[in-house]
Amino acid sequence: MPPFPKGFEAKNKVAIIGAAHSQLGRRLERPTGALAVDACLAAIADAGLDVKDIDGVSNWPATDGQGVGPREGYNSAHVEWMVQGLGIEQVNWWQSGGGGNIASAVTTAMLAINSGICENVLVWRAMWQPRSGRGSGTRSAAELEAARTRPAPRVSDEAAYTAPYGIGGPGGFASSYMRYMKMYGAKRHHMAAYALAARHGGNNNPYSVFKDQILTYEDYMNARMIADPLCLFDCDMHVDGAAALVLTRADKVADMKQKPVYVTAYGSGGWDWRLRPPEEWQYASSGNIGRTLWAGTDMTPKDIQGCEFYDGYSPDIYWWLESMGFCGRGEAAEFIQNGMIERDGGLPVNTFGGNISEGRLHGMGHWVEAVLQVQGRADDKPGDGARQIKDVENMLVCTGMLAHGAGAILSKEPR
Amino acid sequence: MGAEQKPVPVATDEDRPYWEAVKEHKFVLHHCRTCGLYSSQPRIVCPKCHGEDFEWKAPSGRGKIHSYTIIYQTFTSGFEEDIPYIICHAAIDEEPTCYITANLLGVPEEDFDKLTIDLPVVIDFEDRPNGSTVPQWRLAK
Repeated sequence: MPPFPKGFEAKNKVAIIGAAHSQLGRRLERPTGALAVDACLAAIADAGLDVKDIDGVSNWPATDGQGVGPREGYNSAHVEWMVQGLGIEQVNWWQSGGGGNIASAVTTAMLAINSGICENVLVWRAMWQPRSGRGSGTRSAAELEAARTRPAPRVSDEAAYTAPYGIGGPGGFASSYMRYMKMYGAKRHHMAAYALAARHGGNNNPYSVFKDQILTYEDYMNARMIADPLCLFDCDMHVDGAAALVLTRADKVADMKQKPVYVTAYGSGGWDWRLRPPEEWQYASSGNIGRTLWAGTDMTPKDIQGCEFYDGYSPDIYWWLESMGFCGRGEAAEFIQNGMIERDGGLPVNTFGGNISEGRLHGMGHWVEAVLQVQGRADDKPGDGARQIKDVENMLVCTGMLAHGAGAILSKEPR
Repeated sequence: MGAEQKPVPVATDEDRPYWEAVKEHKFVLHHCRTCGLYSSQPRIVCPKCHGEDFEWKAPSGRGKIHSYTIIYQTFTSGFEEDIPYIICHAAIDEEPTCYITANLLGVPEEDFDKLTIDLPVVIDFEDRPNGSTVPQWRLAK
């Protein structure tokens, strides 16, 4: 494998200058497109720009629809819809990623800006919670009855090897986590440290759907199992909502409204997880991100004041912490104990709640929080509790663990 | 109702030999004639040697548990009455990178905590009321 370029070209040349959320909630009446526009307009305003200043747009995934098919504007908001929805006259560059994660949309935006093809790129992710069936969080009596009487689904190709076994939802991650526990002796009570830390973040985050819901150690330990060892509070929370970022050329930031957040290191996953066993894929993907990220910078884990790690399921935190070099393999369960990952601990993680205690924005919530932390304004909005980490110079944000994920260090100063 | 709603595997032109063998309670896998790699699903190109010459070959049907879980909330039709049920990923003895994912049959919920990784398992076959047959894992005797 060729060595990862020492200091990729876009390093220090791109800055994030706007970050914002829309309203987040369970089954909101407001259409997904309207929520996405809310987040995008707020991020553009946050950057001190106007819609007409946006000349690049980047989004992921290319198609959406949460199993019921996309209805643009109603349950998804992709690139073409957003260009129309915002009334942008001309974009010089746009992309709508296929595989990967929102990290792919952010990092390709960095590369596009650095190439000179565009200056101000808008990146967003809009989520829609299915109203019925899988992912809805509830099934009506009528749906349950329909499920009992409909003909058996017929499945072929890859689905023929999984669906007839009742695999779905968190099954793969639960198996990975079970193997982790058996390999390294981790117990369920270890994970409570993460679930509680994330909830503390959510309780201090005005956008969190759990803002007013306290989670105790007893609540966590007594929670019902979804797929052992994953319990209810280990799973992400489906929501309606959107978040957005604005990225620009770092040499333009002197004139900008917000303090620039420099992208000072970048690591990439790139791994085909299909047909690979549970646990190995998580280590392989996050391991690639860790190796390439640290190869491209003189910084070390000691230079990081906090992390925003994608958490579709809570054990993701273990794989991230180990693969990014904060502790050894199999050590994360002990590492996170004794307040280590709380806001005032040695390495705060997911200060905003993560997917499990803010709501699932497919990683965009993680990027927004990392930006706010570097800018020092995580406590500034109405309703914000105490989330700001002290003296932040560098935050690490990692999203995407299945195929193409990415990690980046976001910094106050060029590094 | 119930188990009759479980998803029914439908063979494609490419994996018909797999499902036809399963119907006869035989277990075959896609096997690269060039380098000998077994794969859990048919390949077009071998990821190990880039060969394109495959055959359907019967491994021993023995394997070792790599990872597993027990499902308490199902999202798949027909499994509501099976809850809780086990999902088991096991590598076949012939090829440590070839994992077969199936249910682990014959382990009641109260014995779930006795399971661990690396336990030996064997392929068995389950004929379902909806007419489908699927390979399944059982603990080796």
